[in-house]
Amino acid sequence: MSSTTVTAGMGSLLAERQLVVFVGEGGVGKTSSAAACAIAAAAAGRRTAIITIDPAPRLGDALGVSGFGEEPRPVDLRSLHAPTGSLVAMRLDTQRTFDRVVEHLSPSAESARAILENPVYKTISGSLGGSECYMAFQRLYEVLEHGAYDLVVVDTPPAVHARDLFGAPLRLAALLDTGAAAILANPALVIARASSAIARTTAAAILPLLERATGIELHRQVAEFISNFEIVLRGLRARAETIEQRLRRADTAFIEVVRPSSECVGRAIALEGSLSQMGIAIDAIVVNRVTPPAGPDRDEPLLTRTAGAPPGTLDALALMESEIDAMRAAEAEAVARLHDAVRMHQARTRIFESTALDHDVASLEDLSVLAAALSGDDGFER
Amino acid sequence: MRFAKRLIPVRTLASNGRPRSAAHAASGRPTDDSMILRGRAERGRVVYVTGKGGAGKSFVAGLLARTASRLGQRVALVEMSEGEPEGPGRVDEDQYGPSLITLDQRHAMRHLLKRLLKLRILTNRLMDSRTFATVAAAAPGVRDLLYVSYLHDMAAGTAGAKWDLIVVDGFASGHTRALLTAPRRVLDLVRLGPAARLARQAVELVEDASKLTAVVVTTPEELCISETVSLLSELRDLEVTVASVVVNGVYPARLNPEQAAWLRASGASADALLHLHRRERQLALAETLHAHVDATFVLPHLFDGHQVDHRAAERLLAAVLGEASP
Repeated sequence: MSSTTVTAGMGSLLAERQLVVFVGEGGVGKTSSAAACAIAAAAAGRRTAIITIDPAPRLGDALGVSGFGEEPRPVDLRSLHAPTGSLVAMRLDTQRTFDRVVEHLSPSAESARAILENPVYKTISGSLGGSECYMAFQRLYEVLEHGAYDLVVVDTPPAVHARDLFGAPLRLAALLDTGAAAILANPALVIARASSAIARTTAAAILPLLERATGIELHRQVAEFISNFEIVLRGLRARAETIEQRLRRADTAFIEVVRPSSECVGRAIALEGSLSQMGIAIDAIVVNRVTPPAGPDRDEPLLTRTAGAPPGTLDALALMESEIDAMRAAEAEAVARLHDAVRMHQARTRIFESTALDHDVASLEDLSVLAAALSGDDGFER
Repeated sequence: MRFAKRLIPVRTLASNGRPRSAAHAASGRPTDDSMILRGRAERGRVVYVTGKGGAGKSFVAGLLARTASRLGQRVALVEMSEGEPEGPGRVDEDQYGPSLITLDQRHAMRHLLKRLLKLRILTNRLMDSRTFATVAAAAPGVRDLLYVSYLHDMAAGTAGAKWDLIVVDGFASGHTRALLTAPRRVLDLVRLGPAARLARQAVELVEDASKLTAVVVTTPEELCISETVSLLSELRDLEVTVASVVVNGVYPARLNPEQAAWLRASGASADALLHLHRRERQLALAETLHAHVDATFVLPHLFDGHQVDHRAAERLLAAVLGEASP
């Protein structure tokens, strides 16, 4: 049973909450939906900030974040309406955020520099799965600490499982805590631990090979990295916990964005389920790019509608209409599956279908159309 | 595109590893326009399928593998996806299906270490997953080199069975660059010894169009197309030959120009106009690819979850294999 809520659409969420986090896999319109909601909130009078991850070029241009680094920039909303609120937008720079975090959490400038110049750090900060999302939350931490906003909207990188969003600290810690790291730091350990002559020979043969293959003095650099990073890691984990607490507060909303295809819905259900398992509820789901419902023209038979048409038109139109109907049926089935799955553990999650745009967002105008649809004027709730 | 017509050798492996008879190979239902593709007895070809996540990479890889297998080739379909699961699953398991292989990094490492060190006994404790994960995280080129080296060995027939065609359901576009540059990066660091030999062979595999070609899959949507253009440019820099760019999910043409004009003028069907409009926008987007690649292959949007028809699948396979024929 869905509870009764004060206003239709997501207007109420955007009016009440302090933090809204958008999650979902890639290519569903997550960033567009986040930006649209930020605009809707600004229009309604709130001082709003949005953290974007990797907006498409035209969307980035519309928000004014393309090519301007990571600093927050005000978005000019005057062309849309007379806004009573305000919006600033910023784009995440993963590397610089990570570097800043290392600088803040290192015990000294020297140890910070030692980390930042270490090839192991460079690899981890760039490529460790989940570091981007982790840094998005670190950036959020910074924005909350220093900014004075009524609402912060957070875009996240594509995710299909809760661990994509929250797993980085654990992965980082696991990387450094295991005996494996110790072994790399001191290869002699392996040889000493190996229980047979063959194992020792193999170990003695492999390790130089690995060192030569990577071309760096792996053991020295790993050892240095581990000793300097230990303290930073502790700080990172503490911060991660703080952020997670903040994200679990009642004034945070999680919104999942999905497209009405069966594969996408399957993955969205998995993501929602894995978040639910860690105690994080999805407050609303936006189903993007739904095919609009059939219009009143369908009430009239095709025979009548194609009077005077070139030969073969009736059959062609019949086929096209049936294909669009098949599209609608497939989408409806996918959305029904989504409803069923989500209702199993979250009675309160609201599901909104948006038919607003059939194309990628290319302008502020597009964003405002999406904003109106999502905040309740045109979107409809099931 | 022309093909030499020759049946492949009689002994082929079914997906359960047991040889098929000539009768089975012949009953692979070749089509009328002589698409019996010649398999190479000495060495398999690698077709590496990539593209933005969700574009239909796994679907296209499965389609290529299934089609080649039905035509009688010995086909391996190798999964390399990590993290994000991709499409609705891949190949219908039928009797004539390709062999499905998941490239496991530990397995690849064990195979290559055996080759390098010529030791049959390898302590698993040394290559436990955490050790490997740490090495891979600290030096990602190592793992990627192992994958490419393993593909090289599969193609040469020294990693288990012999294959005519190895279709790789590869990483999404972002990770593919790292994978395919790894051998060159290692070779730049290491000149001598077994690691260098490994890296050199892997570089040859990647850069030789007769051994490996790439297929890039995209949807006809803005974001995907623009990422595809970036990927094509990267692949060119890596000297990887792109056999085909597959545009997946274009609405079929249902109207001739006269009918289309009439529809626009009359507005007789909003849904048909939607259908037409979507197709036109998709074609316009796909057209932008032609500045970067000679030809694209269009796969139609499947409205009812129908299968791609056999002839279209065979044309796709021909396009993919034909491009790189010497």
